[in-house]
Amino acid sequence: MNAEEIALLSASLDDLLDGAVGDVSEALAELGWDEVVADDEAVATRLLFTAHARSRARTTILDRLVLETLHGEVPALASAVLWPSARAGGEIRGILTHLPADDDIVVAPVVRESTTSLAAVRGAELSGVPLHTFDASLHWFEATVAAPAELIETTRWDSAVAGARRALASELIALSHEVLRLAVEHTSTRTQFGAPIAAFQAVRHRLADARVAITAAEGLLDVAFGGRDPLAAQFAKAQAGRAHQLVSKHAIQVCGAIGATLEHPLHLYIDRGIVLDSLLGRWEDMVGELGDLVLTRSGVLPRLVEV
Amino acid sequence: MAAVRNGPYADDLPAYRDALHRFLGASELDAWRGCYIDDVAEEMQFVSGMVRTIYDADFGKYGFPVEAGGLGGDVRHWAVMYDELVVAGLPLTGQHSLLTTLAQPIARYAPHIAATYLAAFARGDEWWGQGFSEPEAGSDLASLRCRAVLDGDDYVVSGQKLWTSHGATATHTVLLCRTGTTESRHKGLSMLFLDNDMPGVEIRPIYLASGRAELAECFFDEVRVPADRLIGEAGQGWAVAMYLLQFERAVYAWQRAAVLLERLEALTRVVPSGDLARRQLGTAYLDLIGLRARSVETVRRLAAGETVGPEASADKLLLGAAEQSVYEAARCLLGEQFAFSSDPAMRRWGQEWWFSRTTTIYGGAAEVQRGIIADRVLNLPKG
Amino acid sequence: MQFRYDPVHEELALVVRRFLDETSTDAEVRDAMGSALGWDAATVKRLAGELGAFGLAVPAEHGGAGSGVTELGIVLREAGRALLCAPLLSAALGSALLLDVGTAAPEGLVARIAAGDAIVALATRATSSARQTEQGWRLAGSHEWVLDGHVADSFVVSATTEQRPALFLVDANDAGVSREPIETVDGTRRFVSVRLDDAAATVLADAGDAKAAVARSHDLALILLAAEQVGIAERCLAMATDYAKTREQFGRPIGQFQAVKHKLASVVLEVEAASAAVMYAAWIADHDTENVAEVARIAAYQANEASTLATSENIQIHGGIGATWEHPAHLYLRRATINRQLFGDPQAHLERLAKLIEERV
Repeated sequence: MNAEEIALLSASLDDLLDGAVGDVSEALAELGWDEVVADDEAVATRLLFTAHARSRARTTILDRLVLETLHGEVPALASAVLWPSARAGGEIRGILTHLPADDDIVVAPVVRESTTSLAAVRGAELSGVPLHTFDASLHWFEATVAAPAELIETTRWDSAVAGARRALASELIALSHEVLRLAVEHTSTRTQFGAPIAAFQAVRHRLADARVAITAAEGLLDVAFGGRDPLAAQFAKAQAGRAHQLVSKHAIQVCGAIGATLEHPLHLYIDRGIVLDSLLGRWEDMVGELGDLVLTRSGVLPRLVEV
Repeated sequence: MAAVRNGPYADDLPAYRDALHRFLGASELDAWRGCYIDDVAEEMQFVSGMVRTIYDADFGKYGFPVEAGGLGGDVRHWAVMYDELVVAGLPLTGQHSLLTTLAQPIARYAPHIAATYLAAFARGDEWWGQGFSEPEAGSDLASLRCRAVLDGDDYVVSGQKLWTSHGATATHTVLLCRTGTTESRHKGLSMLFLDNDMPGVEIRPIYLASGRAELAECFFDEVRVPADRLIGEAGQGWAVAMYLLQFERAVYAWQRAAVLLERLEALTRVVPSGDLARRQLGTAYLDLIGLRARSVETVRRLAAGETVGPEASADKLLLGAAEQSVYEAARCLLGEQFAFSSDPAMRRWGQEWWFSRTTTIYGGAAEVQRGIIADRVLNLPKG
Repeated sequence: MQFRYDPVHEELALVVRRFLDETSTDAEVRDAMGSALGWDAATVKRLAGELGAFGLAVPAEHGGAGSGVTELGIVLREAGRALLCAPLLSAALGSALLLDVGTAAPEGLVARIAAGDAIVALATRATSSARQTEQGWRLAGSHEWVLDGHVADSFVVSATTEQRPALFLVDANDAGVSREPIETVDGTRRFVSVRLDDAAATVLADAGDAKAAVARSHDLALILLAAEQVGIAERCLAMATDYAKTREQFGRPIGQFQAVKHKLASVVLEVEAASAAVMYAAWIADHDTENVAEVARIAAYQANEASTLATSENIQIHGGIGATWEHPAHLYLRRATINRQLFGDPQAHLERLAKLIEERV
């Protein structure tokens, strides 16, 4: 895809996702999304989740992405994913990013003796409680369901997770860009001591550090899309979450009091990012996992990136 | 002139990697495996033998134009070389970083100098210093004062340079000096290629806090340098320097990342596991792979002949963070061993820790790099 | 309680500072570092004699000045500022531990330490094993990183007797004692590893008494080292501030750039916090000896934070010159690095502190 096509597609996605809630599969199909994906899946995913971040839509695209990867293993009608969180006893416990109808089929990972299988259950079988989500615009649920007798063997769950992590990293990076953009706008126009505050090194250097953190996340995301390596996806999501946190911290500081109000849009992109970071591994936890990898690996560590 | 041609690997990076990998595993290079010598001059001398062996086997000729004694290819060949040297347990030292920084600018802006001198550098027979900083011009490079005045066919150079890497053992200096007025700032600068044995050149090593003498200060007292030793044109010095800094900031970052990954592996073999270790080693690994992921893009762009410009400052900042992340982990996790070190391996960690602290100082301090990003990437208003 | 030093304390600091300004200059420190002894004998003699620094916290009946940890802390802080090369910490810790064990200590030994005539080095971080023979106690074991052990007259050694901890005094010239100098990152002090091979020893304290005495000694060590760290941090802050005011780049002093001035401000915050923590810990050590363990660790942790930040920002602000051998910045960083490790690292302090708080709850 050339730059012009990308710009056009990006604008269409912005329109499509503006205020969107729930399932947008049909609208995407009308846009010819399948062809876009077939043409260049990496670019397509990044564009879609970037537009999703900008519009702060609340759609089911992440669930759909995972279910597409699992296509053939799970019932074709499955429409939701129970995202893994802490599990207990014989129950399966997880997070729903939207409330399924009774007849909807929900796919949930079940880990037994470090092997992941899948459970496909009807929406009616789940019992859920609304979560007090950090981003108040999101209405997520914590749900449990009794493990069904029959579990589905899966060979694709790991790549589904990797795909979801690449998508989440795309969205976190786009959110970080929005946060940084707002901070640059504010500090370039807000005048104190007779100058825009972005002229002061204390502000400039924070924003430069924020930018550099995003740059590293973008590089890792390129790598993750390049080889489809699950470890690279883990790196990308970890750095994207880390960058979002750093950018948010600096943006909140340099935007001053106004940035901490409900009327200023800053919080919208910060809250959303904090919630997305918590799906499929918070960045701090992932850093610990990378540390385990370093500590337990004998010999050469994966380089992941080659020229 | 006889037709000169690119070598077989000039356009085939994977084949270059494979062949190089096999070559570097050969026993004739065993003498250099795992080498680390306290005395820097001695180390440079010793490692030059390895550089020569690799050059004579043709692998060290990639990344240089044929006109300069090379076999073609680009900076990606160097990146492959760094990775493979590290994986083979072979040293990457001052030769490599100086060559990384100086070779391309010389080849581009002074092909006649490159044709005469570059092969000896690439072969490890000699190396060159990079004379940029001065006592009163560190971060503020454009205020430098070392003067070069045209007198007949010669430039007459007088002044001082500081922090010249491996300057005391170098045979030549790539010198940024003032040919315009003092007030001309970056407009009145030119780049010259000096022989360090020219009359009036005096160079003495500077001992660093690590105890190693990696740097030098250079004094020039009316040194006569032929005018054909100009790199680029008169008054073009700043442009050449900026072109050069892309390599110093970006390709060098790839080189250090390669080395640092090996150091991280070495560190994990000697530290106890635990929560602190998980966190610090995981962070260092993330920083390093993040640096590589960023750096690969920059290396590819430079290889394609693109101008990276101010964005190379991101590579430099990421390098500083990654470098300090690895060695802070070493300092913390090695604990008493780090502080009370009679063991040579521990002394090495200490010396390298010192070097890591200077990563945010040399080649433009971290504060200057942040300023560049603020100005030229984020376009923030200036004070 | 008081929250600042009184005029007497300030006078003490001033007297010591004046003395060290004259006797512990950069040149003198480097001379001492290169010497076999590790310090200038004449300076140490004056330090013990004229200033009475070695016997500051020793009661008058043992030949000391009868002051406390607060005063010792003030002197150690000045020692840190000046990178003093002298067996000052050993004198403070050795005399305190011998006083702690009371009459078990040889008569007159504390007075000799106070006068600067004897050095008793501590080998209490590791444990030897002790056995009783017809000729008395014999110790075997090895002790790494014994401060000032190269010229110590005797060692206070932790050792176990049938699984019970005890504390012994070993004559450094005993045939069973061998010592090996250790090169550390800090050249301003001397360390040796001590090997005991059937070395003759006399009991200083038994079982529970020994354990408690060693714990108290280590608490004191943490407070005094924290005081040194504050001195180091203060000095580095002053060096960096002076440099930022005079070094010009881009046509003005670099201290005018926020990137530099904010770094310095952050160091000020750390140093102030550390200084208060050390002052408080020393005050507690003098007045409320039951609760020293916690405050000693708080002070140690905070002072390590301050010295780590101050020593490294000092180098960053100085740029290239700060990373050279001839500039003193690295000497401060080196000493601070050893201080961080000498009686347990910051992580260990935090863990112990968490345990102490848990026990209290």
